[in-house]
Amino acid sequence: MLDAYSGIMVLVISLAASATTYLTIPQLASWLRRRGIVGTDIHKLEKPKIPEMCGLSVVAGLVAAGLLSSQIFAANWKGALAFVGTVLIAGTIGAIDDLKPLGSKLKPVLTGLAAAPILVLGTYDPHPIFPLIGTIRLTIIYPFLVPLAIAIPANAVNMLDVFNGSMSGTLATVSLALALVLIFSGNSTGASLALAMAASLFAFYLFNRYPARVFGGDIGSLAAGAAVGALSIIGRIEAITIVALAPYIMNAFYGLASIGRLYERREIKSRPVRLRDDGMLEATTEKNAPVTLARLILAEGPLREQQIVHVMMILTAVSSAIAILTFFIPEAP
Amino acid sequence: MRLVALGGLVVFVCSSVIFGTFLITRFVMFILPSSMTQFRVITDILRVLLAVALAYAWLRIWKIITDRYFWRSVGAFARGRDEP
Repeated sequence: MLDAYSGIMVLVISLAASATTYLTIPQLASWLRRRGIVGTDIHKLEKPKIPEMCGLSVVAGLVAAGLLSSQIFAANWKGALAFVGTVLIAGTIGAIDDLKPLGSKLKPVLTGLAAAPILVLGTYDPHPIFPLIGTIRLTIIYPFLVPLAIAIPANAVNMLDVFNGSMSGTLATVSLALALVLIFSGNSTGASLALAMAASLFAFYLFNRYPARVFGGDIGSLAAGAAVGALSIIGRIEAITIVALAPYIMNAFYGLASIGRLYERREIKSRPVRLRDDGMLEATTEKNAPVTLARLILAEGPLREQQIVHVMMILTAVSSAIAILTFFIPEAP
Repeated sequence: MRLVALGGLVVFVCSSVIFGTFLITRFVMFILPSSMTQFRVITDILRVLLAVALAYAWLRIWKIITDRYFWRSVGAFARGRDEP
């Protein structure tokens, strides 16, 4: 458990991150709108144009938190700087994808490169802790798994960024759960970064929730997803993070399993959900459309966009609660 | 009902991650124990391959459960809508 000083500093860093995100969004959104960097909100009947790439504010919040953490918790400055490096690289890849779409195969490979700061600074421990099992020695194979640990959550988070507030709301919940686990484990750097991430994403959610005034774009979703991956490695909470990300993994796995390959949303001809004339969304019955989480949620009947996001947030709260409980599971005899 | 079914699916996925890794590790270590030190590299590769095979079987089961839930729910909703 963190001591009082570390706890206060964790709160200070989180406030700085949320303030950075919250205060930069309005200016960034109007700047992006002036330059025509807007996206269509396809799940609204009136199809409004919304400023895209506002996830840059989340990146700014996370970078501010990382830099502050490296100064305040100087003993683990490498961990905080590796986090900043990973977020910046993933954010840059996201920005390139927003401006000139990368292919469905190139994007995961490039996001794997965001693991470079962690590998170069050596801020990983090749002995991950698994529930019931305890510590596992993966000295040789672990460095090869680090790029996967960044690329998989980055792209899984990106794949769930489909509705107003779906990415920011659910990932804020996951980050909060990870922050609690890291507070319990006494990891001040990890706790400060995780809580800052929850605070920054919540600030972003206030603008991104239904009806969205800003879109995060791939710059936001890839950076935030990569940040979760980096947290799991730096904080040594790999298995707990996998459990917390269950709805994201479900969404990504169902999509990949039903299409049978890596795909981009824009490549799919058979859409998983359809906007009805009354503004509600319903699951399509086309056999070759991907069975995404949204399509699963809509299987029992149509819902409004904000209702789908509420269901996603409840499911993430369930997985986050199980993730916290996982931390307390003792090693099996 | 929708939340209960989907919540159950999330609980299944989370618990299969927790208990699945445990069972896979125990099973793999039982089949290929650490005492085989003279073939360490081969043993490690076989362990990874066996773990991947078990994980693939687990993912197939997961996919079957999801598909069954989805198509059954879609069918039930369509029948309910068509009934007068």
